[in-house]
Amino acid sequence: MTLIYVITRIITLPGAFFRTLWQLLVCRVCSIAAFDTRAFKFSEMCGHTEHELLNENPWKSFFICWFPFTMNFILSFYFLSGSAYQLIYVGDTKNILSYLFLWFGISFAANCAPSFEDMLSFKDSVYGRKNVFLKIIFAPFFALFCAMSCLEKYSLTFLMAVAYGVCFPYIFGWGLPVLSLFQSIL
Amino acid sequence: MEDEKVLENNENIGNNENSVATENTEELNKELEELAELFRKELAKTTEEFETGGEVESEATEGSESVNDEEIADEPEGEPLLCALCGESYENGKEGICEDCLKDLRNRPFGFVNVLLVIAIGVLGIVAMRGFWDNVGGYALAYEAKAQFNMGNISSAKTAYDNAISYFEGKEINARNLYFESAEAIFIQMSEGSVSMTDVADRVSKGFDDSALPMPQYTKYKNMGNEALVLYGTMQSFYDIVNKSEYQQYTADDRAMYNSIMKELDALIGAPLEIQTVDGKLKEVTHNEAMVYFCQYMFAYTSGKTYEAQEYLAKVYETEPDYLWLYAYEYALSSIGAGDIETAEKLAGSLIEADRQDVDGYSLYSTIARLSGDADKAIEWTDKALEFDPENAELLRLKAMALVVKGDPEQAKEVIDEALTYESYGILYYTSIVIENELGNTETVEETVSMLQSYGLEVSDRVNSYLAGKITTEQLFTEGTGDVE
Repeated sequence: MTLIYVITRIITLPGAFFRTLWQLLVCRVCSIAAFDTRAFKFSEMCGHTEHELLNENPWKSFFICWFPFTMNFILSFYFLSGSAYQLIYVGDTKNILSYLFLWFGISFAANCAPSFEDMLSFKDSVYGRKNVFLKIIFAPFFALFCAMSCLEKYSLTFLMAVAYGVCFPYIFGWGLPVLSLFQSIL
Repeated sequence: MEDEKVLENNENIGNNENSVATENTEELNKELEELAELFRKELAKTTEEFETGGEVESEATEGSESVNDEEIADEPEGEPLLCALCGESYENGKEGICEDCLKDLRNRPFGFVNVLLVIAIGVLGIVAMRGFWDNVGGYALAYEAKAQFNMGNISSAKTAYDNAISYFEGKEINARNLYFESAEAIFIQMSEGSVSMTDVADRVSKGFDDSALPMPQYTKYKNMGNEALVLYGTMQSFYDIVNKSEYQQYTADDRAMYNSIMKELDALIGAPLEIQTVDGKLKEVTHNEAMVYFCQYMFAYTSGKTYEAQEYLAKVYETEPDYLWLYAYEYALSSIGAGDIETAEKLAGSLIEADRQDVDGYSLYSTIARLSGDADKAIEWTDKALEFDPENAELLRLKAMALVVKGDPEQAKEVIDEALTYESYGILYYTSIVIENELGNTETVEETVSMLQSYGLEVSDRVNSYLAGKITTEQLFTEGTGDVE
């Protein structure tokens, strides 16, 4: 399983690398000790930054899960917008840049999930406390992070990202007439 | 004596020695006893200590099972440990690392190279979004075309696809998927006959340029394009036969020549036909059987052989029921004429199911409703179709006939006059004659008849019967063919 996991991280190299980078950035901003910042290592922590446990602080543990997820998701959206419509929707297969951006888009989408350990830290820091308000507001985030980190354990996020990339133009196609109208106004 | 003295001395020495030895032995014994006493005391003490120390040890063993990860992680204060990074001993730390090293790790710099990489990916992201923004108008047109196609509005989809293709051709972008999908929309309708067939083949060919990868989803379009080429080739073979020099003098009365032409057309079924496929290869296929029957239907119909024409049309239906565009409307009309309303309704439903904007389907439903005497329903069906094609003269004519059946000739006149502004052909004028006669405008009727005669057109038998008073308008529009012819 670790071998498959590492292989999918290598295939989605840009996404894995930048996830490590975003986690390092959070560690730096939130003063979290980062032990191992290598993006690629032959273990289940490949594509993640190894850092000190964050069971005490719910906001730090939330940030370390949420920030890389959001940044990679936004980047996947940018790159898939610039490639999936041209390549998959319209069928222009002559543009080489589209293939590169499609790879970037799928890579970032495949590396949104936090590590299983980070997800457990988040769970312990929020649901190990008595603060009901925190439990409620973090509930949807926890559900998302839990589902994604569990899927990533079995490298299923890679398959999901490929499906997401192929279906991207059809998922967000409803916004095209609005954007076109906006462009004509500008 | 000396010996005795020696012996005595020896005895004395021995006695002395014995006394000394005795004294030493006693002292030794005394010491040994003291040592033994000491040993006994020490042994007792050690035994006591051992017994109390085992209880303490057992308590420690039980307690360690309940220690959780946090307690293990937090090292007991006061116990000196070695830092895993710097190797120095420390008292306060976490996860095997001293406080100073933890402080350094918390302040680990982000790195200049990492900053550059973030900037680089940001720039690439902007380039990607810029590429999307430049073509968002075309993507929106493609979205509209696909949405219309998925809703079954084939006519609107065709127009939207053409707009999208023009957009991308203007930017020199090969919109392969749009070529294929628009070809499919045209293939469903084939509204312009042979022109549509060549259009389908051209669009599919454009999609198969040199850089096309052999993707499995494109096989469907390739087969569709080749099928359109076979249909076109079959039609060309038909024209080649009827335009032969020996048939130049053909008239509808010449039965021998008619049979000869039909025999040659029969021979096309199964005969080889060479086409250049959409991907540029020469391929030998056979003529399309359904298209041969349709060509025979056209020839028989134009030769006035109505009954035989219907037979050929039935063969088209049996051979290729999916080619609704080829036979459905005409076959439904002939079914109506034969009184088979059920078949006509089924075909009308199939036409609308294939294309929600198929005017022929709505026309058939309107005709069926009018024949059954339900004028309101007939008007409703024509109004639905007029939403897609408001300038369709035939739809307006059907509406006018339904209005006459309903008993509103004034409104029927407005509708038929509007139809005549868009088109001018025989049956439109015949319908106009009937409506003007209903309104009592005999002068207008005579003028129209004269105008038609000046063009060499005679009023149809059914209209003549109506003008002669042999049948009423209701009988004209609801019985027999239910039409002016």
